[in-house]
Amino acid sequence: MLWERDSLSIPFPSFPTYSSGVTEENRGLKMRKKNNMTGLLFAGPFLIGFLLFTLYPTGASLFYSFTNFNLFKPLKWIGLENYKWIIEEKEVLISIRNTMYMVIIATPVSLAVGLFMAMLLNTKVRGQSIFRTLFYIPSIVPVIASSLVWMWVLNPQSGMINSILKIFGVNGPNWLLDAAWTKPSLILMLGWGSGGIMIIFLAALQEVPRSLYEAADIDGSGELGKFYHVTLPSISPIILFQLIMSLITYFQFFAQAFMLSSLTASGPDQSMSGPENSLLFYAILLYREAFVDFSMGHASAMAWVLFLITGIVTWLVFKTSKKWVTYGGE
Amino acid sequence: MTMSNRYLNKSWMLPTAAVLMITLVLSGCGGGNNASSGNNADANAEGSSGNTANVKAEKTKVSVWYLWGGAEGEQVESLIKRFNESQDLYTAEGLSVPDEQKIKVAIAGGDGPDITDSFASNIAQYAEEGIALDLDSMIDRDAYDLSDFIPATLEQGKYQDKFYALPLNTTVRGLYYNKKLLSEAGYTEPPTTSQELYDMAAKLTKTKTDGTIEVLGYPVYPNFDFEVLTHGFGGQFLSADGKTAMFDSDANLAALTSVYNYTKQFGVDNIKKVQASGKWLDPNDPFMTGKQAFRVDGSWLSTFIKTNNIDLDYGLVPIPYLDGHPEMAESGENQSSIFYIANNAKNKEGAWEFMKFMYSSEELATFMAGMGNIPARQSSMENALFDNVPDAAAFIAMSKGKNLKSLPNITPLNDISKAVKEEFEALFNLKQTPEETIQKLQSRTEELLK
Repeated sequence: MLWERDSLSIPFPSFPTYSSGVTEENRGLKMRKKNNMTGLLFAGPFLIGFLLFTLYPTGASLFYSFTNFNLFKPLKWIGLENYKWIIEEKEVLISIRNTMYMVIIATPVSLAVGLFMAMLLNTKVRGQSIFRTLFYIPSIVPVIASSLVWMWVLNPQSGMINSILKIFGVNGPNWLLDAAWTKPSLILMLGWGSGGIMIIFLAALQEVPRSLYEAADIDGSGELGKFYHVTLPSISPIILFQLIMSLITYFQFFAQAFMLSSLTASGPDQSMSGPENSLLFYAILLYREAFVDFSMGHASAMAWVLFLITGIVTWLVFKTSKKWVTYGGE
Repeated sequence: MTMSNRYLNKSWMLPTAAVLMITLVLSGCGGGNNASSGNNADANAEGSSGNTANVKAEKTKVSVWYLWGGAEGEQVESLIKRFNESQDLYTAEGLSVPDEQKIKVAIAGGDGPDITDSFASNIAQYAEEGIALDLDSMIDRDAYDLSDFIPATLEQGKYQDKFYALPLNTTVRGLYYNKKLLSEAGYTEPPTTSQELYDMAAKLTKTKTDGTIEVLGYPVYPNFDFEVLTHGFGGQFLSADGKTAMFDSDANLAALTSVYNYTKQFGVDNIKKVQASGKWLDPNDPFMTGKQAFRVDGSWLSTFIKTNNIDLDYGLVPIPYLDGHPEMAESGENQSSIFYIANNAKNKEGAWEFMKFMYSSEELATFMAGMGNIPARQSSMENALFDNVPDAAAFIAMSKGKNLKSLPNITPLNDISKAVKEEFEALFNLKQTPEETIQKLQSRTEELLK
């Protein structure tokens, strides 16, 4: 039977029994079963949702990755052909290169910007809470809205950034039309919206024991020394957490790039690849394969390859974390 | 151990990261659910269309989705209203969905429209993938007369000799010019050849001291449309049967050379700045503000100028032909918008009925005149309504041009377009010469056609 006690790991409270009579034990067992049922009922909605909307599609996509499937026609088993396509297709290589650019450059940049803002907001100044709110606001603006606004800000002729640069006699770049500047434009946008990273760092900074700073003061450490020897080690578990979350985010980088690459002056661009393919990220290509070209087999295989890459990188980060993450008290 | 450290120890993080990864990475693969519901919908569809015949009293719904919005969307809605007034079997419901992907995904999921619009260039893919319904059986059954349609536009609805869509309009682009800018530079006549266009455009371009462009000469806004320009000069990408790559021609080379030379003379960065400066068909559009001398665009531009009362003294001529080749005059590319019935439509008969209503001579004229488009039917073109459509006469004449061509509907078309985009970008960024570009386009397309 499904509800048997041993097959489930739902926690239940243990009741103290003062006598060891058989009837008492039976009653205890019944109580436990009842508790298990109650627990299952509460967990049910999640379990059904998880099975139906997560586990089933995950399994289905693994199956589709070995087939030729376009939603309209009956699917055909083609073995490893889709994975072979990934290795051979030039656009996949371009998309991996673009994605790695974001992973390698945008991850440290957004972490550094988030930490820097958190440190500024952690200093005791008048109107601290106002500043904290102001810096956090960008991250609650919907991606679509902020991307549209940034397209204006980055307009090479009338945009705010180039207008400011002009005051200093600098002829600003063609942010969104020059292949060399499209990705830096995205990083700029991401830096502006890194309030989510900032707020977690801010919480972490407030947890750093003051006594450590006092000890550092007594030992004659400067501000930089305190940052390197007290702040960074103290928040290293949070840095690890944010690093992994950012890596995952950038491996799947999509929304902002999708906005910039599909909205052009003269209407939608079906290739979604941006100037000289500079915005063709892995997730964009995956989306295009799935929902423009309807090659679900290609798309599913790509999703699994991305899953594996992300998994391996995350595992590697965990491996190295032993060397640089300190868990206080452990 | 502090609070945050306790929650962030490693045993907690690994499973969390893994679960997040699984849910996020694979969220793009929800298509599996769609597929099964698509089949259900298809099964339902047959049930409901079967009912239609039996239960006459109840009107069945025809869902019509369209890519247009705003004033153009209102034209579709009034068409739908007229259809509903004429009907006692069906009632059409319109929905503006200005995103083609969304429509395709909805069709794939079985929750899409019965009938919707698209562009001819998608027909091969839609037919091949079973998105669009083969119309031949209904055309034959009803002996539907297609002889009034312009032949070049009819071809746009065909894939492998079967109709998957019918053409709505004939879209040929013309060369608009700003009369004031031309006369200031001493020109009384617009250009007729590719070389004249280039010389005039170069002379009409005004730059500031820092090199940025104040008045744009060559028609590079909203972008360099190599496809339209080369067809206008008399060139083509593919043979009519879609079997041979035709990039290696003088007209194509002339189009690429003019782009290359103009870019070299005025700077890639400066041209891109103009391209990014305003929004197409918007008050900031450089042609509307009198800062663009030549513009390659379609009849909607005239309609936009008229409906927005923009004070602009402009002229319109066909795109000039290749220098020294007057026999190539009246060239151009026809691109039609089309309507197709979804293969898994719930109400196929209703959609076909709507299609026949929409494509009747009078209705097509009303619908297209409202949009400022040139209809695909000859008799609709002659409708008095077009007397009020700005520049309709000029565009009707262009759409009857003797050297007008269309891109054939073949499945590698999307990949060919990608190749054209890539190679053209390399040329525009001065990374390769026109000759190299032609050579690469020719060989890449030959490879794709194999």
